[in-house]
Amino acid sequence: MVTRVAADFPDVGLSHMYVDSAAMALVSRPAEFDVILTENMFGDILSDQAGAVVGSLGLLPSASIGGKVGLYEPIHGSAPDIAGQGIANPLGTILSVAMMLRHSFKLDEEAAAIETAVREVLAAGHRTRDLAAKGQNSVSTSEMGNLVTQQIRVRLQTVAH
Amino acid sequence: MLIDITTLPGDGIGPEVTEQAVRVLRSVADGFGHKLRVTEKNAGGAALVASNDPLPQDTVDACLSSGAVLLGAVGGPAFDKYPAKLRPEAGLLRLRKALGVFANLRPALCLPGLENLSPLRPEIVRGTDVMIVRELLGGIYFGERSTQGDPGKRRAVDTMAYSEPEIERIARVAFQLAGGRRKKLL
Repeated sequence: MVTRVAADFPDVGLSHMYVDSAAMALVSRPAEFDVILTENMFGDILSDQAGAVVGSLGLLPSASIGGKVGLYEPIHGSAPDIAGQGIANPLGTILSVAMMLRHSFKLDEEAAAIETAVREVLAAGHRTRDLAAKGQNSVSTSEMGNLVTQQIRVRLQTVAH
Repeated sequence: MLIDITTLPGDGIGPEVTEQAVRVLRSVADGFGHKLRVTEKNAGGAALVASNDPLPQDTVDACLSSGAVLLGAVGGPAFDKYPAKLRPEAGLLRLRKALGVFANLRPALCLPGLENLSPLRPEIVRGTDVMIVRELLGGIYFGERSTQGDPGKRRAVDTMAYSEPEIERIARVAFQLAGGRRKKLL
């Protein structure tokens, strides 16, 4: 079936892999993968594995699309043990908003503005507690939101002038 | 344009991370000259406590009449005492079904400078940028299940079934995504 659909997308290279090989390759050479299409249960497992491979669960967004209305959420759980302390990492949710703008509203430029701002804030060395190395300073949930917001404003002003 | 969304902050850290994400969204909407309408609704444990249903009908209605839904997080040990049907996670499954979202996109990206977050050696994880497209409304989680026989000799059956249309629609999503990326689909 997938091979048949491939005929409509001649510029995309398609290959097949058994799920056990994919699980191994995802750990031994993760940078070689681009898009992995998989069924529900295998996808449940492989996507958690891929998240652990890059190691930053607090940073990862997700999108559920294809129906009437898209649903966007970070991949992390509700972490009740740290709730209300202002130390949670909001970047997974912020990047989910970027996916929402791209997939539900077709606003690619706006989505990229968020993604770029997040990259720049991280590149400047700002970390929430989950991302900070031992002894490294960390920022709070709202400080991180503030940093990303400021970065977006600065960027848009630079473009406008 | 009008960006009309429903937010479901949910439980635990859900509300605090959602608040920051909406703030960022607002700055982007302002910056690009879009109007933003945000409707907040209960879901998960918060809704369970408030109305004995992890996904109240007015939440479903709000989601279906908006352009997109942003969810923080649902669940927590505080809700384990409720029957499985009423738990926050069951509400989330119902929401996915109600919205008809069959394609789950799960990017895993290793940003430059963050290689040290990975349990792998930096030279292995560097440059990782994978998009997993997971089918979300079929397969074994939704298949028929049964248990037969007497205690001690019982036999359980789960079914993983997919139809051709179910595979075709998710394959198209994956091909389209791959076309806008590095054009490699596995």
